[in-house]
Amino acid sequence: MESATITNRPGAVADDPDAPQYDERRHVSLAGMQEEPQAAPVTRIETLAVFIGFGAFYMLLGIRLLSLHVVNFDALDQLTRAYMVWYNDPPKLAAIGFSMPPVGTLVLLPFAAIKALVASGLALPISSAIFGAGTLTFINRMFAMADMVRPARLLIVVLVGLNPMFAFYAMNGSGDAAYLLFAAFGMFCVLGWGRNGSARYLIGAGLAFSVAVLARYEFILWALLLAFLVSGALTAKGREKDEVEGSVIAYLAPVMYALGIWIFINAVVLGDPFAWVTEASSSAPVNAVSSAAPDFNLVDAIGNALRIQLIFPIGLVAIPMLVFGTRDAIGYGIALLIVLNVAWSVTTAAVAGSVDVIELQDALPAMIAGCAGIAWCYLRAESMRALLWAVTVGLALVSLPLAWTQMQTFPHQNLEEAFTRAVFSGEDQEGSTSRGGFQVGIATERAMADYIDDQDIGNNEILTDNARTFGVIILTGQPNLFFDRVDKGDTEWQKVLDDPWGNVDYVLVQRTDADLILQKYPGMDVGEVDGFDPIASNDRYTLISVSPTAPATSGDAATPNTTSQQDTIGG
Amino acid sequence: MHDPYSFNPSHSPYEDTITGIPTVSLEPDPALPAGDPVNPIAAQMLPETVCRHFRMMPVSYDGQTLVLAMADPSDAMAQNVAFALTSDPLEVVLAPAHQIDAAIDRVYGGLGHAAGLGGMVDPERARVAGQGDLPGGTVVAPGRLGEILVGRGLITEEDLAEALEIQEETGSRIGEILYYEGKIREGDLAAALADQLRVPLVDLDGIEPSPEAMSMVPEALQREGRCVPLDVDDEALYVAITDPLDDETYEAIRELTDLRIRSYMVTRSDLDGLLRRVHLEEHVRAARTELLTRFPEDCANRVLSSGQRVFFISFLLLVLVGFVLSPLNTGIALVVLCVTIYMLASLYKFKLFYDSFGRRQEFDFTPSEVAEIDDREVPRYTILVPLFREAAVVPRLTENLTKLDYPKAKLEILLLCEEEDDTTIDAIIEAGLPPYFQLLVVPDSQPKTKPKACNYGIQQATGKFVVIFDAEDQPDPDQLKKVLLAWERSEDNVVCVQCKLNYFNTEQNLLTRFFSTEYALWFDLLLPGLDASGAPIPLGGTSNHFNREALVELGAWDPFNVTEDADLGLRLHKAGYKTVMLNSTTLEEANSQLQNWINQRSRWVKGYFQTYLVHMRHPIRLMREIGFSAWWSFQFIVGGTIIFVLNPIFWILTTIWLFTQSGLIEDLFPGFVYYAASLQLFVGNFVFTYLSVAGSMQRGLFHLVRYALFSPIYWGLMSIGAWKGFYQLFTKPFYWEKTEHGLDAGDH
Repeated sequence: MESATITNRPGAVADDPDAPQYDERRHVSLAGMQEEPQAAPVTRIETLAVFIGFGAFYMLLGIRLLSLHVVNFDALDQLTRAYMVWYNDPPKLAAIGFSMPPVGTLVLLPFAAIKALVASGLALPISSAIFGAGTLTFINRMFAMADMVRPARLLIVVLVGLNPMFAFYAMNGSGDAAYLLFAAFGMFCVLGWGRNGSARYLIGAGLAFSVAVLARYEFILWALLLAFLVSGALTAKGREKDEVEGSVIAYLAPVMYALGIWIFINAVVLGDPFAWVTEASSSAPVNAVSSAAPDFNLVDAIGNALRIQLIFPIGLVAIPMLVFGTRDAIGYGIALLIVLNVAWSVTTAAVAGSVDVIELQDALPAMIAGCAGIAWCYLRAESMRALLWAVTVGLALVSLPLAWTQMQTFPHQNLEEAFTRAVFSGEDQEGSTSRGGFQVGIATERAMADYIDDQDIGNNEILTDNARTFGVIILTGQPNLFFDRVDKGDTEWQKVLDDPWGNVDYVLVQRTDADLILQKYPGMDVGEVDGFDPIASNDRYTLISVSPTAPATSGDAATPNTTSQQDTIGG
Repeated sequence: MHDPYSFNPSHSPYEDTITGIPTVSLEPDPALPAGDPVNPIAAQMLPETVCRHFRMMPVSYDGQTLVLAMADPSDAMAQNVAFALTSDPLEVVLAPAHQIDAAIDRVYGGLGHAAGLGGMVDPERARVAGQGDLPGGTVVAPGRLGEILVGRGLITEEDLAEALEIQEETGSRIGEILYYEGKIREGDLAAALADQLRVPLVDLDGIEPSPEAMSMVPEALQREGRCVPLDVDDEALYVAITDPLDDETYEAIRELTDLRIRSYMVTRSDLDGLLRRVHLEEHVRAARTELLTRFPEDCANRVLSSGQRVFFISFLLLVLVGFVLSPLNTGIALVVLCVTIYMLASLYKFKLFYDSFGRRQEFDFTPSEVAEIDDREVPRYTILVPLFREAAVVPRLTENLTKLDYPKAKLEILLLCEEEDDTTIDAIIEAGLPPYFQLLVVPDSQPKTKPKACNYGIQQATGKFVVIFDAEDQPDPDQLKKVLLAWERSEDNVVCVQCKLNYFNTEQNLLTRFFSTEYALWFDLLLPGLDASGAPIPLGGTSNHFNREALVELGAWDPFNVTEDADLGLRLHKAGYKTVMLNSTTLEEANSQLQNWINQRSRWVKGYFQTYLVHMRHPIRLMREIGFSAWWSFQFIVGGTIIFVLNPIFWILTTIWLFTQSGLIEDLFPGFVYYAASLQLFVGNFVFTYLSVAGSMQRGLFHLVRYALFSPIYWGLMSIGAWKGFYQLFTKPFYWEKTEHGLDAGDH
């Protein structure tokens, strides 16, 4: 790409070094207000068509996936927390939890407020379909901002929307779809700011990333990097120090506020302002059947981090285009975001000490950055637009089988393989295993929930570690029956855990070491602890009756209870 | 698209002929406003004998060109004689010979000036200009005004040349230009004009017009036509007038009486002084009670209507009983009510801000569009500047307002001073202001408020449009012209153009910085948002430009309302009129002293409460009048002021809970209420803080962005002012907390 092909637009931050944005203190310049008209601006009908078309597609496919029991347990956990926000006894905002970024749960709140959506599980595909389709509308806007004509950009949007990785996360109810939406909006704003220099895009980007950082912590780095980008772009254009400083503050303020509030809440609720960092390295997933994790190896980590980018290779291809083609701060910035996405995967693997934390979905943010990068190149290189478009469409087409293959073969994932099996065969995946060491389905949760529903249990009578048993809680539809860590906080919960006799009638545990109750009373699920009487059990959960009075040896070494008579339930 | 500032075309008797020479009928015509196509003053410019000899008749004179009706337009000699006698360019029109003869008989037989005026005017003071006392018909040809003035040594040739240049641009009369440019004194100009027009000049000092004569011409016509009927007898009405060539005024008077009109020329200041003197009581009464008399339900002379008293007492009793019977549930109900108000007001305001941000919702015009305005066609503009104890800012006021790009001859700046404010009055007199500045002393009467002063001022105003500026204001020089463009491009029902306000002393201290961010938010985001949504706009204190007729029709400002501007915005809307926003800024002085700021804020909040209560006397009727969405907008924007009173209560509750985790406070926020309140606390507060950032960005006040982040501190101050205003609403509802100006340390 030759610099001679770079266009100049009045008011644009990237292009017009001399255009003053504001003349004097009394006049707001027209440059920032009257945007350069787009070649083919997005119409309302176009946006609605993309949103409704893909929204319906994802929703229907998501519902079908649900019926085939391909259920993402992270999504289920978030839905449970959102449900408890409304229907716990007492309702508590703290139910959103601190082990995962909160936005994934917060965005489910409107859906969780409707019991029928939760009971049927429809809240999951519906929510992610909305966010996924919304993401595509902003990708469409990115290309419109780059002056790409409607048919050309819609073809790219359709190819992105059909990408199996994108589609899976747009229908499985996980919080990934939410951060994709906010990241797409944020990147659209970055492009808008780069093109027009209008402060409203800067503000929009700040607001978008303020949400995104609490949806996926990787975006904290994105947000910071973009702050440097804003500063660098304005400084390079010789803007006044006040304007540079004001713009950076305006952009970064919502991001910092969001993080500040999150730190504050962690401090108030958990007593540790950075619990969100430490708790984020959560224990093994509830539906994990294998915990064998390969050790960290830098070469493997880099290899995996690059390999997952194959789900949408446009991101990697965009890097040289941005660096050598646009030769401006925004181009460099977007290229760095893609590099950052790869680096984030490697770093998290290094911190976790294992390469298995690098999962396929970690490449999703680079999809958004890749689209933004291509759009920026397209805007800046007028003479090579046809070629750029052709390359983009070609890569988007290639990414369909590539992503499909990676979903089937990449070792560290989250039910992607089960998804491809379900789509390909149309068969129920209940009980099957999927790459990454997961058992597919919720039969065990359903069985235990049904059993509990059949009992005559009052409010807060079941002590449980909701981080492990959320599947059961949500499927009962009665979080009020459970005395969990949300109800009165961890401190009160711990007190009852220390002395459950007389305080609760039952205990529900997941039969893994990760369950805090089982950690306290090892063997209680098999009747080895005096005062606890297992009454129902399946492969994953055990419901235990608690004696009304404490045994003589309570709190000390476990005492076998040989009198237990428990039901074995399905699942 | 109408042209609201174009002149009303006068009733023209001319018709084009095939030869290109217009023809005119000189027959008296009742359809003509004056009844006679011949202007008697113009007729005096040529002697009767000359007219009879050449069969020609001066028809009208606009100060530059004499329109001459001739039976034979090809008679070059006749035209040469007319030019030699008048020294003015001629515009020849064709008239039948018999009509010219009849007109000469009619007009020269009827013109004349009273020598004695019933004894009222001393013949020594009623001086007929020219060659001494002249019998009717022996008119000596005057020269052109400029030449007369040069000839008398009152101006130089250079002055005249400059004035002619300005005349070319503005179309104003040469005498007015010279006067407003300060080249000549008013008295000298009037004397020269009187000489030129052959009209007696009279000094009104000590003259008391006869009540009978005064009753024949309404006050409005006297004011508009700048004339005063001095006396009347069986034959004639004797009228003092500033512009003897003002046909429209003569025509209007003639519609009221069959008597002949004998005119005297007076200076503008003489006449204004007399008008004010003779109509003093009427003006003062109107300033105080015009709105109250005509629209009593729109006047804030009482805080609560009887219906409102019943409502509020019932509400308080209900709350009291509730607290006795079920204190917790009552507390929860009140919290729910407050949280609902917060939520709705916040959402509505956010929508307005969102709609405005990064968009140009208001009118905006480029310098080239402004430059295209033809100064000859711009209308007279009145600027009202209420001053009270502001002697210190008088020099600055002069400097700022003289920078306005507007033909000075068409500008009228009325400085409104309270009678007791000797210091400011003296400062104005001593300042030796240009002649388009006029000092108006507002007679002492209650309530002593800015709106009452403005009401007094608008009665003296003659501009087609009127605007209020504060004493320290620095309007954009092209603001008036931009407003003209806004009128031109607006719908017919637009009668007010609100310009943006901000501050010139932003950097003085933290308070002025906060204040500037608030104004950026208000004027650059919120008001344009209201404009775009068609909701009523609570006008800002200054830089609101009105169509004067519409304003007067509405009863002007409410003298009992301490935010008369906001109130007027709603009354305009109620009357079916519209306000639009214009992207032109007036820089004011931000209040830089805390106590002064709190006083000002308390007045604003009190005024908003007043406005809310006045218009909510009949809430259903109000909704019918302004529409459903505008009604809700009014609730949130004006009624939403209550939020500043509520804020400290919730801040205190939150703080206590944070430190004590009080169960009682938790109980006040059950379930959904808690979530809504949390949303407000964590999201709402930030959003409004961030909007201050956005407002600063929108205006380009980048250096204030960092301060905007600390807006919550400023909200605390606002609540202090709000509580003071709330208290005063019941103790001193009409008290005007005067804002002290001139504290900016010269930072402008």
